[in-house]
Amino acid sequence: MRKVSSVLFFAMALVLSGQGCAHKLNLDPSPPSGSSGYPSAEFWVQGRLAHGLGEVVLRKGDQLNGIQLEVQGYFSGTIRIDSGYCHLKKSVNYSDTELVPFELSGKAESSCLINILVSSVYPSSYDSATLVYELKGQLLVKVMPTDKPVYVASSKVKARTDTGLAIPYDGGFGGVKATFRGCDQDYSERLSVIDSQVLMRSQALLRDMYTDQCTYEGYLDGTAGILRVSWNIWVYARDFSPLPIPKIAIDGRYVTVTADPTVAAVILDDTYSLGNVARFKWDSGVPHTVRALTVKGRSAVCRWEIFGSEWKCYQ
Amino acid sequence: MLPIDSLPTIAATLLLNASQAGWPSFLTVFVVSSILLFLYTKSRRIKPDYSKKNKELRQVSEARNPVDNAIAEAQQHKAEDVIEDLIRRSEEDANTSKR
Repeated sequence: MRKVSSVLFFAMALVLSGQGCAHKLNLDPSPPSGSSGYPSAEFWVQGRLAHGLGEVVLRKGDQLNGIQLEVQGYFSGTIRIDSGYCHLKKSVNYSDTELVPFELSGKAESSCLINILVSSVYPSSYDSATLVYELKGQLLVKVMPTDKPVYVASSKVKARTDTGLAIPYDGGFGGVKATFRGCDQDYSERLSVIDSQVLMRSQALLRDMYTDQCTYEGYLDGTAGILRVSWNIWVYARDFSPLPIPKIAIDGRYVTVTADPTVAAVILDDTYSLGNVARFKWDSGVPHTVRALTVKGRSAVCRWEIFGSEWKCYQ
Repeated sequence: MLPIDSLPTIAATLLLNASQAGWPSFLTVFVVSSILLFLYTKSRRIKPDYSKKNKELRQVSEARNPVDNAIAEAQQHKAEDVIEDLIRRSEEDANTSKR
C-alpha cells in the first residue's frame, strides 16, 4: 500500500509540475541581430534573393513600380517599409509564412534607401513564452541622373575587420583615382587596375566605425572613364555571429534540415516546423527555399534551383 | 492561514498516513492531496507572459524604422551631392584640357 501511494504521489507531482514547460521555443543567447547592426530580413528584388541587403539601379524618371519587391514574412506579423526619398511608408499585416509583395509608385527622382522591418509573431502560445526580435533589411536604390555606368554593392562587415570589394573596371589599365565620400569621411587614393578590376578595401572607408550603416558614394577615374560606385556598408558588432548555415540532406522524397540548436523554426517554402530539426516532403522538380530562424532575428536562407541542383546559402 | 510552502509536506504526510488505513480512506486523502499539490504547483509555476513585451518591442521597432531611414538617406544624399559635384568638376577640367 505504501509503495502504491508513493508511486501515485510522484506521478501526480511530475504531471502537475511539468505543465508549465510546454510551448517553449529554442532560445538564442546571441545579441539581437537588429541592434547588432546585422540585417537579416529576406527579400526578393527583381527576382533575385537578398539576405539583409540588396541593391537596384534605375534611371532618373523611371517608374518606381519597375522595382519588384517582395518581403518574406514568417508565421504572421507585420512588414513595414520606409523611404523618404522614394516616398514609401507602408505597413502590411500578413497572416501566413509567405512572400508579401509591395507595390511602389511614382517616378524615380533621386537615389534612396528602403528600410525593411519584419516583425514576426510566433503562434500565440509560443509568442507569449519568449521574447521575439525583429529582422531588418535595406534596399539601396541608385538613381542615375544620366545614362552613365555605375556599380552598386552592399556588404556586412564585422567591426574593426576588413572586406574587399572587387569593382569591375572594364577597359581600364594602370591606375585609377578612387574618390569616396560617406558619413562625413573623405577618401581619395590611387588604386591599381588588375584584370579589369579595382580592389577597394572597406577598412580604408570605415576606419574605427563600431556599429553603423553608411552608404559610400564615389567614383573611379581612369583610362576607361568615370565609373560611379555606391557601396552600402553595415558594420555589425564584434560580439555578434551570423547564424551557421543549416545542414540539408535530401533523401528521396524527403528533405531533413538540421540547423543550429539556437534555431527556433525551420521553414521550407511556406511550411514551418518549430525546433531546429525538421523533415519535409521534397520535390526536386521545383525550386525551394529553406530558412532557419532564431528568436533574436538571426537567419539563414538556402535556395535550391532546379538547374544546377545545388544549394546557394546566405547567412 | 497555512503557508503555501507547507502544502506539499501536508499532502505527503496525509498520503503516507492514509496508506496505513484501508482503500476508501486512502482514496479520499489522495484526492485532497491532489488538490493541495495542484494549488501549490499553480502558485509556484512561473508563467512569463512576453506577449505584451513583444508587442511593445514591435511598436518601438516600427517607430524607429522611418527615423533610421531618414538618417541613412540624409547621409547618402549628402555624400552623393558632393561626389556628383566632384565628377562635374573633373569632367569640366578634362574638357578644358582637351581644348
